[in-house]
Amino acid sequence: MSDKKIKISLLDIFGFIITGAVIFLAIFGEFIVPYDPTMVTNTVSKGPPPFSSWPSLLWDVFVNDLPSPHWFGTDSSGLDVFSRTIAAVRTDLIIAFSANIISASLGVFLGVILGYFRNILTEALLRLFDLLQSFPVFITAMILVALAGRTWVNIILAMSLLYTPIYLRLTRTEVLSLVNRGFIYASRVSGKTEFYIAIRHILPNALGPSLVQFSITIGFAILLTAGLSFVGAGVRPPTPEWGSMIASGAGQLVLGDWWPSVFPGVATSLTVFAFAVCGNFIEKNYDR
Amino acid sequence: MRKINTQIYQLLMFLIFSFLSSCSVQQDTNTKDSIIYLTQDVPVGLNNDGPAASIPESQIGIVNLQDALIDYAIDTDNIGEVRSLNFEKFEGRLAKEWFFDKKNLTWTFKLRENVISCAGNELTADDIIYTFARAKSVTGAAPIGWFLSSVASIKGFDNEVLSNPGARKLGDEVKKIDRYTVEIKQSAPNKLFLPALSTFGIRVFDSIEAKKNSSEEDPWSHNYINNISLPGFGPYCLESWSKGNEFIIKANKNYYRGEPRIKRVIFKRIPQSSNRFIIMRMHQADIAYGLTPREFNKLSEFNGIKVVGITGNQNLFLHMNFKTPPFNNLNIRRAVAATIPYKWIIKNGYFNQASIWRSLVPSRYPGAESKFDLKWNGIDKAKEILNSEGYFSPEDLLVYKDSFKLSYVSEKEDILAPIATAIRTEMRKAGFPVELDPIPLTQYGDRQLVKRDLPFAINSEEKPIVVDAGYAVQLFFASADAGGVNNMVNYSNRKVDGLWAKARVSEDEEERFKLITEIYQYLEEDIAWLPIAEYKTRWGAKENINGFVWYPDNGIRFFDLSMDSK
Repeated sequence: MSDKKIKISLLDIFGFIITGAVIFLAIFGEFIVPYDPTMVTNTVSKGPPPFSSWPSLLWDVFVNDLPSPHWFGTDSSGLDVFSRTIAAVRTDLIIAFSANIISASLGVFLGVILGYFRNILTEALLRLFDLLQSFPVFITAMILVALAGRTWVNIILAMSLLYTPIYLRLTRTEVLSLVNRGFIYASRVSGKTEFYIAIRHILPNALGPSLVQFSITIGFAILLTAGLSFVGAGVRPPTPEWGSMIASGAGQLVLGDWWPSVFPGVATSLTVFAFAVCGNFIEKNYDR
Repeated sequence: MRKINTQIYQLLMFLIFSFLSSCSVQQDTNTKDSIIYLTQDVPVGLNNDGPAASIPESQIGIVNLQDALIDYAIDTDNIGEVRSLNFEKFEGRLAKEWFFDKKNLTWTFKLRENVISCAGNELTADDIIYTFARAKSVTGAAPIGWFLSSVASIKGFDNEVLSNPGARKLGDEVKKIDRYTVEIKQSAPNKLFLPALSTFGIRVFDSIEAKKNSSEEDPWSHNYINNISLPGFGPYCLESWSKGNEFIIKANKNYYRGEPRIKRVIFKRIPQSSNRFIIMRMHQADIAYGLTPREFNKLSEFNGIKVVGITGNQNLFLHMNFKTPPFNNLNIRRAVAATIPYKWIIKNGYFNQASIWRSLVPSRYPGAESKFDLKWNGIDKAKEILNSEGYFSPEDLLVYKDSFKLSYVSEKEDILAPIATAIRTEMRKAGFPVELDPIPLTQYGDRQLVKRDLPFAINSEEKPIVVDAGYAVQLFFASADAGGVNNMVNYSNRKVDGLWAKARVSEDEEERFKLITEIYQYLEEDIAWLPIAEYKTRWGAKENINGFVWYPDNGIRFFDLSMDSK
C-alpha cells in the first residue's frame, strides 16, 4: 500500500461488516443455531413469527429459557430455515474459498511460469487454458460435477479448474509488464537463476490483480455453488446450502410459503455483494 | 408485519400469474366438450411392448386409444367421488361373451360385431390373432405383452420364447374359429388369466392399420406405434402428438359403447407440479394429475375446483437390497423398520391423505390376507437390535456407508425429499450413517430393474397392474430364476417360490388364498419390502367434471367422464 490515506466509504464499512459476520458465522455458526439444520422437526411449512413479536420471543428464549421459535419458519421437510441459513454459510464459504485458493495458487504460479518462460510449450499450455475459458462456466461446472459425482471435493475441483485460467491470465499480463523492468535485469546481472527471479521477484510483484480478483471470484463462486445446487448438481440434500434451499423453497412459493427461499436468497445476495464491495475496496486502495 | 407479508405474497402471486398467463395453456380451454388435462409429461410412446410402456403417461395414452377383450365392471355399490371397480365381476368389452372349457383349458371369446376402429376397419378374430402374435414375437424393447400372457399361463408363452427364436411364432394356442370367434389355450389353470387380459399390456390392435404401417425391418410396426399413432378400437382416436409438449385425442364416433361425452382431450405437458397447480388455480385447465398432497389440499379450497381421490394401489415402501450387506441381515432390516417415522410421514409427508400401509398387498386387492405386524418400533428398539448384532456406535456401521445412501427419484423430490429427510433423521438417531441420494428417474429405473444394484431406496412407483396378490408375488418376490421380473431387492426364498408354483396353478379358490396368504407371511417375516404408506390417487378437476373411475394403472379413462354445462 502507498502512503496515501486509505479511503473508506460507508458502503465499504457495510461490506466489511457483512463479510466479517459471514466469516464469523462460517466458523461459529454451528454453535449458535437453535436446531440441527439437517434433522426434521414436527413443524412443517410454518411461517416465521411476526417481527413485532420478536422482542418478547427473544426475552422468552434468553431469560425464560423457553425453546427457540423458528425465527425464519420451517420448510416443507420441517427443517428450521434460520438454522439452515446460518449453517449454509460454512458450506458455501468452504466451497468458494477452497476453490479460489486452489485456482488462485495454480493460476498465479502458472501465470508467472507462462509469462516469464515463453516458448512453444508454454504457448500451447496457454491456448489450452484459453480453450477451457471459452466454455460457459456454469454449464461446464454442471457437466463436470454430473460426471464426477455430487461431492464437495468434486464441486471444489470443478470450480478450481474453471477459475484457474482467470488468475493465470491476470498474472501473466502483469508478468509481461514486469519482465523488462530494471530490477529484473539487475537481478539477472547479479547471477540469479531464471527460476529464482520468477519466483522471488516476479511473483510477489504480480500478485496485486489476483488479490483483487480473489474477493470478486469468491462472490462468483458462492453464486456458482448456489446455482449448481439450484439445478440439482450441487451438494446432496439435506446439507444446508443456500442454492438448494432456494430451489426446494421455490416450489412452495405458489402455496404462499415465501420464507424457505427468500431468507437464503437474501443471505446469498448480501454475501456476494459484501465480497464485491471488499474487492472494490482493495482495488481502489491497492498501490499499483 | 402480517400486512407486509400479505403484500409480498400478493406481489409474488401477481408476478407468477402474469408470467403463466402469457404461456400457451389457455388455448381451447373454453371449447365446448373439450378439456385440457395437465400432466407431468405427455405419452412418450404408445407401444405396449415399447421402451416407454412402463411410464404411466404412456399407459394413459394406450388405454384411451385401445380397448381390451374384457374389463372389470364398475362397482355400483360404492359410489364415492371416485368410483372403483368390482374385482369380482368382469364384463365384456371387445368380447361380448366368453366361456372356459376346464377340461381342455381353452377359453372361447365371441367378439362384438360392427366394432369399428379409428381407421374404419371392423374388429375381427384376425385382430386378436395379430395382438397375441405380436406379443409372442418379443420384438419390442420391453416384451410386456408376452410377460402378461405368460403370467396368464397362455400356452406357448413361456421362457423358451426368450431364448429360442423358433418358439416365437404363434401356433394354435390362439386360434381363429370364425370371423368373430377366437380360442385361447392355457398351459395350466391360472386365475390370473382374465385379470391379465384387462391390463394395458394386452389391448387389441387394429391389425389392418398396423400392418399398413409396417416395414420389412419392422414387421410389427414398433416404430410407427412408438412415434406416430396407435391403431385400435378404443373410445378415442389420436388427433395430434407432439412429444414433450402436447397430445390430443378426439372421440371415436364409431365407438361401440357410444360416442364419448368428452369430445376432445388435450394433454399438456407441465413438468413442475407447482406450475400445474397455478394453471388449475387460474381455471386455465380442466384436470390435473400429480400434484403434491399439499397442493391438492390447497387446490380444493378454491371456488369452482374440486379434488377427488381414492386409496387405490399407490404406496410407499422402503427397499433394502438382499444382495447388499448389511441388508442381507434380517436384524438390520428389523432395526431399520423400527426407526421409520410412520406418523410423521402420514401427517407431514402426505398431509393426512395417506394411511400407514400394514400389508404388502394394496388393501383394495383380493387374493390374500397380508398383515404386516410391526413388532419392532422405536429408536431404542433399533439400538437394542444393533447392539445385539455388535454395532454399538455409529462408527461401527460406517463400513456400510455406501449401502446407506437412501435413493429416491429426484423428479419426485417435492413429495419424497421431506419423507426421505424424516427417515434419515430417525435412522441417524439410531446410529445408521444414512445420506440422501436423489437420482433421476432413468437412472433409478436402470438400477432398479436392469442392474438391480440399488442398495437402499424409498419407492413410490410400484403397483401391481394385475389386481391380484398372487401377481404381486410373481412380479416382485419370486426369485429371479422363478420369473420374478421386477424383484428389485433380489429377494429369494425357495419356500415362497414353491408355494407360488402351487398357488399359480391352483383351481381351488380357497386353497389358492391360503397358499398366497402363507407366502405373504414369509415375506412379512423376512421384511422383503418394508411397507410405509398407502396414499390416495388424486386428481384436481373443475367442479363440472364428473364420473371419475379408478383403474389399477391409475390412468383416467376419459370415456367415463362427463362435463356438466355450466
